[in-house]
Amino acid sequence: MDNRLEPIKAYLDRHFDNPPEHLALESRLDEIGIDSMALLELMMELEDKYDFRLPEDVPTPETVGQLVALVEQYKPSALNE
Amino acid sequence: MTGVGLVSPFGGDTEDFFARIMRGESAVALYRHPASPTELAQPAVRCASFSPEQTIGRALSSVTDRYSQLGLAAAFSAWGDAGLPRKGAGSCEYGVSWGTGVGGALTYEKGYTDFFERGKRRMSPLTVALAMNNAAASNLAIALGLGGACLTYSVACASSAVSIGEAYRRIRSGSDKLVVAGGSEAPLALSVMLAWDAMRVVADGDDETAFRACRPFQVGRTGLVLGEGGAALVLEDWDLAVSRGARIYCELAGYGQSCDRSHLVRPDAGGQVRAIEAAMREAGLVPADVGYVNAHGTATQEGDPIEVSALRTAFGEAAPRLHVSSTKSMHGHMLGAAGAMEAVITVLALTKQQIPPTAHLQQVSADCEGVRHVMGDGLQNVSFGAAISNSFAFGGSNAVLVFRRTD
Repeated sequence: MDNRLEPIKAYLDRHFDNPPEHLALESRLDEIGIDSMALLELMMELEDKYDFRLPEDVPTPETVGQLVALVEQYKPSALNE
Repeated sequence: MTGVGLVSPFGGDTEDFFARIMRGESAVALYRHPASPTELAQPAVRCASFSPEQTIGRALSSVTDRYSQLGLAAAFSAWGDAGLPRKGAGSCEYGVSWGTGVGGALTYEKGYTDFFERGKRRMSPLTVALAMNNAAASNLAIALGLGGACLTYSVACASSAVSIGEAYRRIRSGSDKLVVAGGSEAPLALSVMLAWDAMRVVADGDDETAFRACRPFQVGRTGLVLGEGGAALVLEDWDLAVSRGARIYCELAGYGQSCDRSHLVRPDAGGQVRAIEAAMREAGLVPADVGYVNAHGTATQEGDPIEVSALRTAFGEAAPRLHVSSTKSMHGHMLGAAGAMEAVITVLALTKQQIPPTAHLQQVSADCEGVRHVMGDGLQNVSFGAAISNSFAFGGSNAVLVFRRTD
């Protein structure tokens, strides 16, 4: 698995009884159980963990890849730490 | 009434809970709040062995406050007890009727602590969804697929007696065929404990004496103990219950409400009498028909004699033969969940023809005399056709439920 997905995998493991076994950049967030509320919580967790802030008007990511891209855009080193 | 469920502070199931209550076993212990800046220790009831993740699953646990978790666990238990499968049994003719007093107090308290003490400057985006007072009911409706009315009542200590009574009204009116009714409470937040302590109504107790701290109707009683918990009942239309072959525990036959209209926290016997009489009238019962009253009985100096006075007035010549007990002596005062917990106990008492005791009651206070207090190991093999559960709330709101055997 792409190492950049680890924080998202950890979130899913914490919140679901049966988290998806396969996580990929193409995975749709709603299909892996991350609804709009969970996405807000996950984004806040990532902001706190990597000490950055996403602007409020960023487009809502629909896939794991789009979420990863957002984090890399606003905190380029975060997911490679 | 076709299903009952609860989260037992003893850790077992509903049958185990009732057996312990019949033995006068207390779930009260001294609770030291771990986050209090000054030592705060109160006799209290905790569901210490309750595991939300094991009971309702990790997914639901991660998006719910403890009060919802306790409620969901109790409701799922009642749903199963009514012979309904977790998946596919829901209907848009089935609803939820829930009660809670302080709702998501633990979630609010965590938010305040994070903000004021830990320097966090943002709240979790889940805060509103966790803490709102209708979160338990809504999560329940989603989990079981209940598309009828989904309502939450917050009427202090009468919250879940009202939720059960209002469910009964909805079924009687035909607006719902089946309702999961009950209540849940998680009041052991530091702020809630301190607030009750400030009113000087919390019972005294230390490590050795806490288990018998709550002594309703007893000479020298010192007050109530807070308890967390959840309890639920499945109420359904008679024809539906019969057609699906459900086991029928008993019938909810009457529901009376009133307001003291006199004082926010001092109860009034006149208001309580009106609620008792209204419930009895609706059930078509006379005083001699009622064999047991599960009293509100919080063990405060002021409240207990007022309730007994109301019972003496409402039951008249039948009062001296009326069996009365307060099970709060064992499971504590669950505030918004109290009415539901005591309704479950009353239903089981009526069904099993057993009457649980007021634990730790040895010498009845002179101002609480005039009814037949049940003490010790309770009463086995009693024959009675109807029972009452009283819930009298701060704010002066009174709710009385009458249950009747169906055989």
